[in-house]
Amino acid sequence: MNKTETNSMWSINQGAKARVSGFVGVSAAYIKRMREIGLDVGAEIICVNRPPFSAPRQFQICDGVFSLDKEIADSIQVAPC
Amino acid sequence: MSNILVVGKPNSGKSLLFNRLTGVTQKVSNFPGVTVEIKSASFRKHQLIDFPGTYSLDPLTKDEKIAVDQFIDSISNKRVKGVLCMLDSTRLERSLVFALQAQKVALLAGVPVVFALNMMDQIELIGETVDVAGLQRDLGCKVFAISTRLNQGLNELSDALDQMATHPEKFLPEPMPNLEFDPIHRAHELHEVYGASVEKLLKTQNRLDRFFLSGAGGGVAFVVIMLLLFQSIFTWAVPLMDAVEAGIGWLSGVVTTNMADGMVKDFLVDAMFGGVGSFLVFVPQIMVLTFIIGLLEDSGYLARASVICHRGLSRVGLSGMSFVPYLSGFACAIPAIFAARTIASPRRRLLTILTIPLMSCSARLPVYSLLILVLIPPEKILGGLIDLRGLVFFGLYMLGIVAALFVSAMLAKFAVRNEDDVPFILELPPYRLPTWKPLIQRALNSAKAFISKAGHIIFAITVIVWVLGYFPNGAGNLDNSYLGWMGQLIEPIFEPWGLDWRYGVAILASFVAREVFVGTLGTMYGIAGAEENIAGLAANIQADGISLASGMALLVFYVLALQCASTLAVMRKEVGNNLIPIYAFIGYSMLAYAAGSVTYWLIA
Repeated sequence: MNKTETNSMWSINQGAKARVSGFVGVSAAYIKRMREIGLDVGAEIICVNRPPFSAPRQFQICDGVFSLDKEIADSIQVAPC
Repeated sequence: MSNILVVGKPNSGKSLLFNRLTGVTQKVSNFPGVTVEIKSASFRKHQLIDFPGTYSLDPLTKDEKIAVDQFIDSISNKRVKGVLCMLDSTRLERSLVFALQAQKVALLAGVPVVFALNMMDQIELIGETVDVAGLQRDLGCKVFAISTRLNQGLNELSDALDQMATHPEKFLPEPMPNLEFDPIHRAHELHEVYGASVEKLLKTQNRLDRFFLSGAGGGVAFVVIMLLLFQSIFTWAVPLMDAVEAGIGWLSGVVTTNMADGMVKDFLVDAMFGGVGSFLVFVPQIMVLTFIIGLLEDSGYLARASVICHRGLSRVGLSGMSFVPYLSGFACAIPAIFAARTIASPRRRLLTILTIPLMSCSARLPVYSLLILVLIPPEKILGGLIDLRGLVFFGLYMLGIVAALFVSAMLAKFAVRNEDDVPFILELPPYRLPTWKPLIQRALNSAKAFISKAGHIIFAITVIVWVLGYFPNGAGNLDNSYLGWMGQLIEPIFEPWGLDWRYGVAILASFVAREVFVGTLGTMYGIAGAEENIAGLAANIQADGISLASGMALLVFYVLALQCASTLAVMRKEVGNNLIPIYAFIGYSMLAYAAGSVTYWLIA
């Protein structure tokens, strides 16, 4: 990813950092929940683990680690830090 | 009596604190969403009410909705004198998002709030600190630094809660803090100023996750852990089972040796020691199963197992979140069905509830154990590494799992509507060393609950079976008893499997509860004259002769049949539909009979 590019959260490489830049196709209730767990616009996230076979990936979000499946991670837009 | 509400984010240690303060032994584990029901218990002169954990006052899942609705309702109740809000010092920002929302609702209703800042031992362990005084100043309410696991800071907290419940007005902040803020931003600010850096903890967690969740290592670890779980039920429990069996034999000898022959002695020997006693022999296995499941929960591994299973389970209409209810189903289907409340998607939740009864619950354990002891020789395979009986046992559990996945896939394809789905987001709790005392306590409780729940049913049915089997011709005339005549009427149902009427009676009796099978069979063998080997029901059946095909058909039947009235009642309550449990009962009974017939035909 270059500095101006926006990608989905699913595309972050293991160990790479990115910032949440928006949400695509997610209901308002879920956007609110994601903000509450730390996935707010501007929040820094790190992909800590990318298991094979499209299994859910692990992201360090603020002071916690969350596992997200492809469906939801694809709907979160990120930009490089 | 005044009430104190205990609230907080999932996995913040509420239930363990609740147990410590009240002395009860509610289930505690290291997995988000273990408390799915509101529980209450006495604390000094007051009542403590533990709510399911939630990330927000805007609920997404059923368990969150129950917690939030009840919290909002309770807060205006005059009995409620205070709120104890749990904060996880290792996840301070996330805890504060909910805590600030709860604080606002409580203070606006005139109810004081006290914060318990838990897991401070973990923070100290990494050489960090939380500015408790600063946090207390900014929150405007008392904050107590505690460690529920190490029992630190609980005396001060208990005294404060007692005072708050007695004099709530003294705990209301003066002046009232500003409550007009965005809780997400406010939580971030407070964490930035007063919180600790938990990078060190996360680094260790991430390193372990890279092993347990990635590729071959994680897959192998998962299979080995599951295999060990089922092997241990047969290996660890054996000394305890032997001890119970010997104890029953000894007690029987003491009680009946000097008794005059007659009906009372026959009843004690056949029904009490032969029937109820043969069921008690298997209780240690239930304790071992509960202990191992507790160990996995406490360590934090269960959340990882949910992640590992997510992809496979989604293909059959389930979710990674279905894994924990499934695993709980190995102990008992009833709490497992409640645990499915944590699944946000209504469709996946329904599919999980409908297939939980196929997980081999502890009530099936005595049936499996008895038949395996009868049918499978005590041999080791793979150079002594694997116990053959343990392997068959594992196979039966696997059969239940495979059947559940198959049924779910079929229902997802043809019966259960495909609604808008809910994404999979799961917080991974930190890895922790288990706390042994609550685990042992939980294992003992499981035995106690199992005996008290099933005991009276088993006793009642054993007495009925004994009376019907003893009269009108007394001991040794089972074939010419009322039970024998009735049994011969239903014999054609299970005759195609090579089973005589005694098995038919035991199977039909076990439609009330599966455990009844062993007791019923034990009583009938007792009446028939096998009393010299009272607790050795397996040996009696072996001596009597049962073919491998018949026994395996019976085992397959028990894996698939839904023989539990309580499960059907809870299923009805949770799905809010009277017909679904009826369909489930009929469907699983037909499936079990058909699969049993196929098994018999294949082996015979």
